[in-house]
Amino acid sequence: MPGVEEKVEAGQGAQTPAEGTLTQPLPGRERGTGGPRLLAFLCNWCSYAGADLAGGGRLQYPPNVRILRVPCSARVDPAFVLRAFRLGMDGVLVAGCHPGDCHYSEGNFYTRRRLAIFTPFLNYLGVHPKRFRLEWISASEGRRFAQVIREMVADLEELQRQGELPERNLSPFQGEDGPICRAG
Amino acid sequence: MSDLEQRIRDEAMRALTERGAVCVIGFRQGRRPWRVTPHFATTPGQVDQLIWNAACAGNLATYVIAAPKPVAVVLKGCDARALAVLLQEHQVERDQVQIIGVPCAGMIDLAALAPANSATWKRVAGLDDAAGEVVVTAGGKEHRAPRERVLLARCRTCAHPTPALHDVLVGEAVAAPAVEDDRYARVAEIEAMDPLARRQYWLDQFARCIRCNACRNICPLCYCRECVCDLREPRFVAREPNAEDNLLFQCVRAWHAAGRCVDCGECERACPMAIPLRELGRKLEQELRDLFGYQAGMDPAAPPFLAQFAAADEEKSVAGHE
Repeated sequence: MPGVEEKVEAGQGAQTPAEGTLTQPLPGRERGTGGPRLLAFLCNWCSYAGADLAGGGRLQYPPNVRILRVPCSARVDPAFVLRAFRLGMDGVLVAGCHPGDCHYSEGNFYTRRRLAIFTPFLNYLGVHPKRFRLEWISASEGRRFAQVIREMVADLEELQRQGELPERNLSPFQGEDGPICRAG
Repeated sequence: MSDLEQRIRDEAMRALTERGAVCVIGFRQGRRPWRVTPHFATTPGQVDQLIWNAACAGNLATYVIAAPKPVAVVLKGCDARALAVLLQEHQVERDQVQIIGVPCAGMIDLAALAPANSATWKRVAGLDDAAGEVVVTAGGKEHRAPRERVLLARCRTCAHPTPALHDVLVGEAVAAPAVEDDRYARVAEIEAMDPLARRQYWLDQFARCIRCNACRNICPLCYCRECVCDLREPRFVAREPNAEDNLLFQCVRAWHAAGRCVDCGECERACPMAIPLRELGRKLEQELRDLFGYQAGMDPAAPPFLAQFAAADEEKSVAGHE
């Protein structure tokens, strides 16, 4: 009975995350078929607004990026970055307000010091330096946002061509369908 | 009984009877002649069990947070720096802890003397150290080895053997061990690999990990009531051991100890799978030293390093560099 099947499918559909979220590949970007995947931690007050401006201004940038909005760049414990790489991200961007412009006055100063130490550590773990970036992107810098994404995706595509990106090796308990990154 | 041991007991007795401590943390003899175990003396009668020898490698600062206060604790140079970090983070207040500092000539690596549980160890009747020599009595015979040859790797490059932070110092201050060793030589070797080989190196090391959490349990700085790595929702790190998640777990641990880890080396000593855990922390330590000239555990009154910032950080920032 077609109606029953539809119901079952709809039920399953409610269990699985919506298309285009962090946990589900974008159409045409399924694992192995698409380009590199980039996760961007954007601070709510500057960089996220900058990305919004890029969108509003119809600026073109590659669709490989997934945006994760955080209240402040200081919210990003570098352990999140480690985890993002573990979950199969090819690149990670952390973007916040320019130093001095933080909505919370000083959040990004902590980020700056933290990531100055963390970035070489990440490299030491065998993550190519081009796979991680910290950028200051203000709410008016839509162009800058689009440019950073273009640059990073181009870098990652180059690494992919060179075979410099490690294979994704997710455990059965992790990954796109696992409970570990269920959205919401 | 060595003079040092007697002085530790005297100070422990004084702490309990005169200085108001309700507990003294030190070492006592374990079940085997070469094993020592933490001792919590709460009555003057228990003070006589305190010992001191070259096997007292454990970091007793680990037990200070949970101990009844005021507490007195026997600390070596590295342990006292770990306690300084706990003071910086207000996990314990300075007036609640009395530090019996012991200048440390380096602790011996029992694994280097002989593999644990081997027949040799079963015959060992005693372990002694005096005048730069370690004396192992086994099968009625004495085996002697120069102390610096059987030191723990961490002790070979120790820069602060005498605890700067102490209330009483027992024994003479000692200079850093004579054994020369470049502290960051191994870091440089790992950095010389290309990124993918380096990643594989770490995965190979951590494929052995059984996730027993001994490293976390023994670490004086891993005092979180709930570790992010134990979270179930969201599950931060997969629970079943696999190389990638084992590595993630340890990297999160290393990172959360950045600017705090004093390289007491207990994680590596506790590891039953002989994973070179100190290699992770030492890279962070090197970055802190090279970029910021910071060394953890030197100033118990300073705020934690990563809870501060400075205008000069701008030059070290990784943002905007191509």
